[in-house]
Amino acid sequence: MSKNFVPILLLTFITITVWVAFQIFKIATSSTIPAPTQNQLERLDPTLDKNVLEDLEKSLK
Amino acid sequence: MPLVKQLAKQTIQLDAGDPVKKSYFGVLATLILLIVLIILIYPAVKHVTKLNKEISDARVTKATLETKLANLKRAKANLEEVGGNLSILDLAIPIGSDLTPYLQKIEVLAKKSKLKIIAVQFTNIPLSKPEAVESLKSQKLDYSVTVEGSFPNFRKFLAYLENFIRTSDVTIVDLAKNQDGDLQETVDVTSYYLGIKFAPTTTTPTKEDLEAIGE
Repeated sequence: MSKNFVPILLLTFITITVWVAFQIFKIATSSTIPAPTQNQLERLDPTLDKNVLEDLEKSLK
Repeated sequence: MPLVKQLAKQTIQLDAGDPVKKSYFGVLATLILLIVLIILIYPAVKHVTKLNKEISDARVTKATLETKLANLKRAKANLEEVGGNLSILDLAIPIGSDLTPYLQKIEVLAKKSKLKIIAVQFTNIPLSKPEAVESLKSQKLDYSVTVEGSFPNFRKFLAYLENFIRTSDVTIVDLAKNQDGDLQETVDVTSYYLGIKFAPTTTTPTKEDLEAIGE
């Protein structure tokens, strides 16, 4: 009787271990930053090419 | 406590009994214990992992926001510096497609180059001016113009287009003679504007929609 329980318990143990591992992996890899904050985090390039403005001014003349 | 006593009693009984049975009981007990342990520990591990993730994400957010704040300050300084030239920028890349005045200007340029416009083709271009200023991004305006006229005049037209304030990229130029022997030039142009990304509808209109359009 006890012998029959060993593979069942072993498989249950493996299943639970793998499930827990996947859950922890999922939590560790998914971002917790909310979508509005992610929008605010979008990169902003402050450099301004003044030569382009000069070229545009020239094309107006 | 009675359960512990019972287990101890059983263990004593097994000690005296079959050694194989004893070893199986040990394995079973270990497995059950491990399963119970994992189930008990799981919420705590989950919570700690979540907290660690939130802390690391918060650090990233803080660093990125600080960088953005510094960039915004630089951008503000740049804006104050070129404040007078903003109208020129608006002419080069307007808000909204501004298609009608743009096509009128193309018509003027063609007339100035003594060319006759045969056809203008464009698709999926929003004609209305966008209101949501905060989410505007650079969008492409693709169109093609077919003109009729001599090659030197066509070159003039291209030169005018190149010097035109509104940014335009000529992607394809196609020259062909029509049945009457006149030269026809087709130019594929990409211009740019600030707008919201336009998503064309793919659904087919229903009977009610067609009736509504008919009315």
